[in-house]
Amino acid sequence: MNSTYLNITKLFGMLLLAQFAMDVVAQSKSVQVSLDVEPNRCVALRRGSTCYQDVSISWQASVAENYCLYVNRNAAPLKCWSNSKAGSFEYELAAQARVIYSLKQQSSERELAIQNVDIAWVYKKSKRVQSTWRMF
Amino acid sequence: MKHNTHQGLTRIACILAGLLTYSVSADENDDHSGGFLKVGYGYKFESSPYEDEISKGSLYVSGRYQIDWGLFVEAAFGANELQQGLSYGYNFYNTDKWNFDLMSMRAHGDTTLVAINQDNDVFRFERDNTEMIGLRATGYYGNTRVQFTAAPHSLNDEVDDAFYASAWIAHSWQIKNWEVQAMTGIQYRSAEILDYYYGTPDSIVGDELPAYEAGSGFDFTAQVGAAYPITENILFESYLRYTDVSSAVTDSAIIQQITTQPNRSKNVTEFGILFSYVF
Repeated sequence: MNSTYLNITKLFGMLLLAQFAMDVVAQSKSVQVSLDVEPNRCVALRRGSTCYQDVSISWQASVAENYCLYVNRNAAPLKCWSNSKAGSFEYELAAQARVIYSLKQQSSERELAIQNVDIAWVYKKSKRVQSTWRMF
Repeated sequence: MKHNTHQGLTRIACILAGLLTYSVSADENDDHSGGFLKVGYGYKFESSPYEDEISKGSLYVSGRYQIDWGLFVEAAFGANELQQGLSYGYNFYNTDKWNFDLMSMRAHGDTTLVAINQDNDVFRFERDNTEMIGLRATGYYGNTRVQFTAAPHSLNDEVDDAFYASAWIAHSWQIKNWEVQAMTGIQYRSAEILDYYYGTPDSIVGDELPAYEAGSGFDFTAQVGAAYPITENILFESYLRYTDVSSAVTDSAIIQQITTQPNRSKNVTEFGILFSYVF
């Protein structure tokens, strides 16, 4: 009687462990997200000047959820999607330094995927060093 | 002439030594050293009194490099043919808005002018560059730049009492990743400079070419240009420049004769469209 009770307890424990493991797997599956930003580089003429670039952002997730796209970790999202497994967004970037895009679940602060757009300049030092009087 | 030149050079050397000793900068946090080199190739159109009209592929080279001590070299080849070449100088004083340089500058490039008189006699006038030494002040106010130069000392023995001065203003606008620039300026050349290039030499005055002694003159220039960065090193550029040449030049018997020839004009119009690689 005692050993039967012990076996049932063990079996229940194993079931609990299995359930926990399945939850972990399911949870880890839900965070599999890919984020692409094209192009990932913006070139302006002079250091310090604002760089403008049309960027295409797309993402895919293994689980349909409410996702939001953020730029430079701002509190306000750039765009949100409801109950979606994929999304895309196009807009014109205007920046003077590296831009960071991240995708989060709407209910979470955890960044599921991150991509950067780097800013580059033709004239990399100050305007005064990089200019002669004559343009031509 | 040689004696004057040596005296002048000695004066300049003394000034330079003094400036090196007492080099000051009011904005010491601003690093003025460094530079760039730009090599471009593209199409150029140029119409001027100085040579036959050009409409062909052209190489452009420009650059500037300054070392920590303030010594710098500037290069400009391919455009503005009257003043292309290398300049050397010393950036001796800077404020947050202004740079002050002691430098060489080309007051007038070398010319080969060929005039033909009514009797079909051909006269060839070859003149050297007139390099001068003077001061340059450049002010930066946001996207507006102003520049003043005054060069009282000539390195050309033929025009050792020459004086050259200029004043420029330029403004640039950023339109998305394009930079559009407009510039206008005035250049003064003393009578001695202009007479060296455009006066009729005494040896041929008379039936061959009318006498002409050039006075001082002002050239007025306006330019618009645009640049677009294709990659971190490659630029697309285009410019249009017009110079209203001084009447002291266009009234010259040599220039009057030359501008009757086809493919010559009294004023300078230049247009270029090119791709450049920036190092």
